[in-house]
Amino acid sequence: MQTSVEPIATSGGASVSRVLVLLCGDAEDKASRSDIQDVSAWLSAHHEDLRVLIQDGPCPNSQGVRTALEGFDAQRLVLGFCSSTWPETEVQAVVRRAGLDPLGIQAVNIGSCRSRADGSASARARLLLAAAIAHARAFQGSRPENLKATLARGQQRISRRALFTLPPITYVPVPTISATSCAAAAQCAECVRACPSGALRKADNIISVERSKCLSCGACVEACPQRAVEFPGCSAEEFEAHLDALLRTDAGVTGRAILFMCGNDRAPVEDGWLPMRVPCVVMVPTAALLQSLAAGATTVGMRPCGPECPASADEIVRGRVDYCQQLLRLLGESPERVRVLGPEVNPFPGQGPAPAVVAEGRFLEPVSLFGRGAAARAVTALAAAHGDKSLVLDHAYSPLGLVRIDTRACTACGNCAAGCPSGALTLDNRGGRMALEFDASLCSGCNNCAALCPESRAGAITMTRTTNVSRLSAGPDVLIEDTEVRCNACGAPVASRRMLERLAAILEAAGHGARVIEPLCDDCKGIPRAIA
Amino acid sequence: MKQRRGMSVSLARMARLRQGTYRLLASLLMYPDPERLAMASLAARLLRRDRRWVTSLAFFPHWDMLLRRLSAPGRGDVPGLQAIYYSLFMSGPTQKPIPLCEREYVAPTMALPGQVIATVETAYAMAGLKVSSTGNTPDHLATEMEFLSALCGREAQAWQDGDAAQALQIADTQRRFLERHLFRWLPLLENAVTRRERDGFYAEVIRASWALIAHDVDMTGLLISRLREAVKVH
Repeated sequence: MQTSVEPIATSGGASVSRVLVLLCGDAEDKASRSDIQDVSAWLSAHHEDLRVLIQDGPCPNSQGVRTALEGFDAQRLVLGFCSSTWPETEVQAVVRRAGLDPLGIQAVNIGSCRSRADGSASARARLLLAAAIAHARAFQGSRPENLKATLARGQQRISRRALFTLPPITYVPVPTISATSCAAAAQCAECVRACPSGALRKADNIISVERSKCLSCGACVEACPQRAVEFPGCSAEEFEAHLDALLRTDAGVTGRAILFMCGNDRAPVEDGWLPMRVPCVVMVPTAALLQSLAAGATTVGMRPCGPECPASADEIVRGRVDYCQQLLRLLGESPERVRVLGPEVNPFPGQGPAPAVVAEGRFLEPVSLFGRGAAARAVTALAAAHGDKSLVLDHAYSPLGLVRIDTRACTACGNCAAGCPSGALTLDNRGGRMALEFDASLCSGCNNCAALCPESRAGAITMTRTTNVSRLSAGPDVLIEDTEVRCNACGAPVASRRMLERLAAILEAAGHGARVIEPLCDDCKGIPRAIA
Repeated sequence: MKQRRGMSVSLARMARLRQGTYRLLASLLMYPDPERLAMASLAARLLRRDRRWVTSLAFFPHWDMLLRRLSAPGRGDVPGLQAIYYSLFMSGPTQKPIPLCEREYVAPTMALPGQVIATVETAYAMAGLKVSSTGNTPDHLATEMEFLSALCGREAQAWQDGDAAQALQIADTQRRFLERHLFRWLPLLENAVTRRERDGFYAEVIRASWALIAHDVDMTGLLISRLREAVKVH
């Protein structure tokens, strides 16, 4: 069902400020040696409008959350637990009662930050919490249609008594499509193609979401070139804020190894990784892997939840990682800087293979990882760090494409440009000339252009999944130019000269004899005219 | 699974809460009069007694906000509300009224107006109900909410009687009606009302309605699949 409503935040908004951070004091006792007092003091000193409370055990504790919320008018909540499980359902209820949106809760397992004699446990806890705070601040609220009720984990066989009782319910986010940003009317259906469960459908140029089928994996967020998919809890903006903070915050952590992992994955994380949980690793764009490397991360890992993944993310994740590894090889880097990890195989990256080139500083400003142009910026940043301007890589999982035109077959009709969801192809009309332009930095390799081309059988347009660094910064390239033919009656644009010639050829081939096609626009057609 | 004491809520109780809420919302969506508002205020106070366990449900924030507003002393003058209702939904001085009928949002792209009304009436008839002569059309929001209230009442009775199979059937009827009707057009109504008066009383009413309906679509689906599983076993 498509809504034409923009999201209204249930609390907070673009300038969310008051964040409550609740830390479990037991994290110190779990042999982690992370100094909770130090972490608390650091967070308070480095963030505005923030209150940090240390809660005595037992942890996790929804009563503690309730008490803490009663004492502080928070707009967002970050929880630092000492274990990977927490009473999600109870905490959601407590938070809801306090007027906060449960989807905005960020939970961090600070008990996993174990020291290895270098005293880095506290530093890692600081960094993980700083990233969670950034994520929470980027949360814009949700709408009722963004929440789907599901049975809470751990539901066992239903007894007869339990049958008549309200089961524990938890809520997962469901995406909605912003009508103002969506390019479905321009033939885009990237989200539909990317959805692993068929929950997204396109009808009458509108994308609808079938909630019962939605896996809440976020694959649609990754696929959308217009950033039109709203996915509260892990929106594009929240993801970017979280990763940006992980990579940029100076919390005393050296050698950052980022691990993107599935939100359902409860297996322990080896010490040394900086985990970033996402609904499903299939939503992690290639740009995120590359930008992390460009920003100086020593290693980037992707850990799908396993062969039982409902989104079947394994193949896609391996493909993206393989692409990054090939890219690194061509740049003279160790491909081991990017890897896929299994739930059991979880080697500590150590210092990781040292980057051949250490990025000078980090990002100067927050980067965009989703939508059109994001992949190109990431590749360009990484290539620039290595001084490589000529890299070319053909790969099935290249996030970028290259479009070529056969000028003998192309009629410059502009169908490809009209159907390009990312605006990589544009048809420009200037002073009697029509020019089909291609900007490689915007091409996502969707192949819509070839699918829409009326001359595709003749090979008028082809797209290959190619990353060509020199083309990325070259700007738009003119693929074909032609004369614009105008309406004989009113002078409005009609078509390219090639197209009219092609139509004449088609008519002749169909046995209608040579004809003079009089160019008339849609408005002037059908008006009786004297033919000279 | 053993439930903690004080935490378990019967499905009958849940259905009664939904019955009461739908009925309250239906009354608020009709032209306000002193008697109706007084009853609504009383109903709000009674419903809020259950709010402790309702916090576990996603529609709680909008639901509670509206009920608190209705329960508060000095909750607003009736003539003032009448004027707002009139200008929003009946005849505005400078802007077109916002319709409260499904056909205005669904037709003509999905169905003709007459088809919409016929479909809704058929749904009522299949449940053994028909629209009384209140002046509202069958596809008026208040009428559709009243229908859901009636179904929830039946569901509650089925749970109380221990008839899980009957409860399953009624939940299925609710879900189909919600999916085919209210879930499709209520967001469009909400958009229209919110653009006119973002934080006004009727915007709150419509938001609370939408929050409940969006939740119930999932909730009824969950109960149905859970019941079907259990009925197989037992």
